[in-house]
Amino acid sequence: MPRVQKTVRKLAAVAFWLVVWAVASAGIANDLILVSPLRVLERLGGLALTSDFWLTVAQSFARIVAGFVLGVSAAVAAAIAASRFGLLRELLEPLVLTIKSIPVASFIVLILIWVASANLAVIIAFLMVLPILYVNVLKGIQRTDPQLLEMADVFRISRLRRVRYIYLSQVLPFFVSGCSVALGMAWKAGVAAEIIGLPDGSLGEMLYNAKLYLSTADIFAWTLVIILVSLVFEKLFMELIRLCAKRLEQI
Amino acid sequence: MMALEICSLSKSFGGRPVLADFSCAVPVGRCICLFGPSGCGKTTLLRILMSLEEPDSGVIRWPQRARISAVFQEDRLCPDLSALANCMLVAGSASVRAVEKGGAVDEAVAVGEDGRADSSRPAWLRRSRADRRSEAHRLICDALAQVGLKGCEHQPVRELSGGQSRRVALVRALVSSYDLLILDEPFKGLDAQARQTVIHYTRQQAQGKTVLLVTHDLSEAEAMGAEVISLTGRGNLAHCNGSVSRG
Repeated sequence: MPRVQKTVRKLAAVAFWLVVWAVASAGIANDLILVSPLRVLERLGGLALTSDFWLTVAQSFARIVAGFVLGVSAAVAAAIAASRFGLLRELLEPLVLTIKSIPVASFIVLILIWVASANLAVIIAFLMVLPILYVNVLKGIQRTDPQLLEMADVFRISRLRRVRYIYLSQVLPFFVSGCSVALGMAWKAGVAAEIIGLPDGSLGEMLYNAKLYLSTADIFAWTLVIILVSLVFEKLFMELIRLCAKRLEQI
Repeated sequence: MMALEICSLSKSFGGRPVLADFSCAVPVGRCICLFGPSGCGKTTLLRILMSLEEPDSGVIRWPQRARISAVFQEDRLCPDLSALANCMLVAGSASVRAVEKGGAVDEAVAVGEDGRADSSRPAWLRRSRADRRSEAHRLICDALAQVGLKGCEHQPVRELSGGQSRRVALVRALVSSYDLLILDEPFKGLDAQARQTVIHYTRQQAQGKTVLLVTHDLSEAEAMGAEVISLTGRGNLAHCNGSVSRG
């Protein structure tokens, strides 16, 4: 299917659901229960004109992205080390399984006892990203074609070149799919942490206040902001990975 | 002078002997063909020589720091890299860092048109890393063209046909720096015309080098000018250092 046609179909699907939303809200005719898309856009426009809006978005963005980047870095380092040392892999396995199984809400409440609410989203995003990326990158490393590694031994290919030209292309699909899942998790869990921890000037605090004052339009508007920011970040991050990989694979 | 001496090499897998007390000597600069039925231990022997397999017993004697280059039974190319990049990966690995140390592409790149080694020139006359790399690119492209892969240099290997990939694997082995060239069924999957071209090119490039060739086709050994070592069922030596022997 041509690219333009594909885009048109995607936009048409979005438009369809917007119409469904508009019809439902008109049918209910109560802004407190279901606000109309136009009202949400109007409210979003109003919010975007204030400097506080941008400060709030920037602060939450910085916290969640910091947690994500720290999580990715730690997961990649741990996966490399675990692929090399079996003992470390066995040691990390129950820890990773535990982090994966514990509900986000339990983590949030527990960590709130230990750290200030301002840092909560960073740690929660970190904890959400770490096990996903660790498992994916480790799987990628372990599934690297052993025949290519034997070839590298015979031709005395340096460690750095092996990583760049053999491991990278084999691990990249696992890393990309892990990042895609982890990004969504980081945003969802990060905002949930902010709603519970209520750090000043955060997206979570704004959502909480909107709920407190029964402002459905604000809840929808801030939710839309979270979706847009996470989508834009995901697109930019994936493009960055693609460009880096392309550059690294050049000999 | 011997490039390689193999003494009483034995190897078995799960109690099944594959190589039994195998001994052989390979003189420097000779092409030796290991010939025998499937499962007689030819590839196992090559894997032991490449240090990819440990023998159960026996000794291999060869000069210290001997460098090996190989065409494996499988192509073993990085599928996402281009034909050129796959060759550069090995031509550069032992060398783009230390180009002056020798080897096919390395030697050619390290020596200027006047025949003087780069390292003997004053610093300002030495070619930059980028220059050496572009010269290596040129030499590899020439090599690829000679085996009929002109125009395929920048194509990812996963887009090449089986025969084309095989030729890339062969060029990769020939452009690397080596003292011993191991060729495990290097011409399989090639049509008659391509096979003739590639055998001619391989023989030309490996002239004066020590080569171990495994093939099921004695005409290939003949075309490579190889001496044949025939192996029987369990890697026992049936015939050694003769000229091409049939049957």
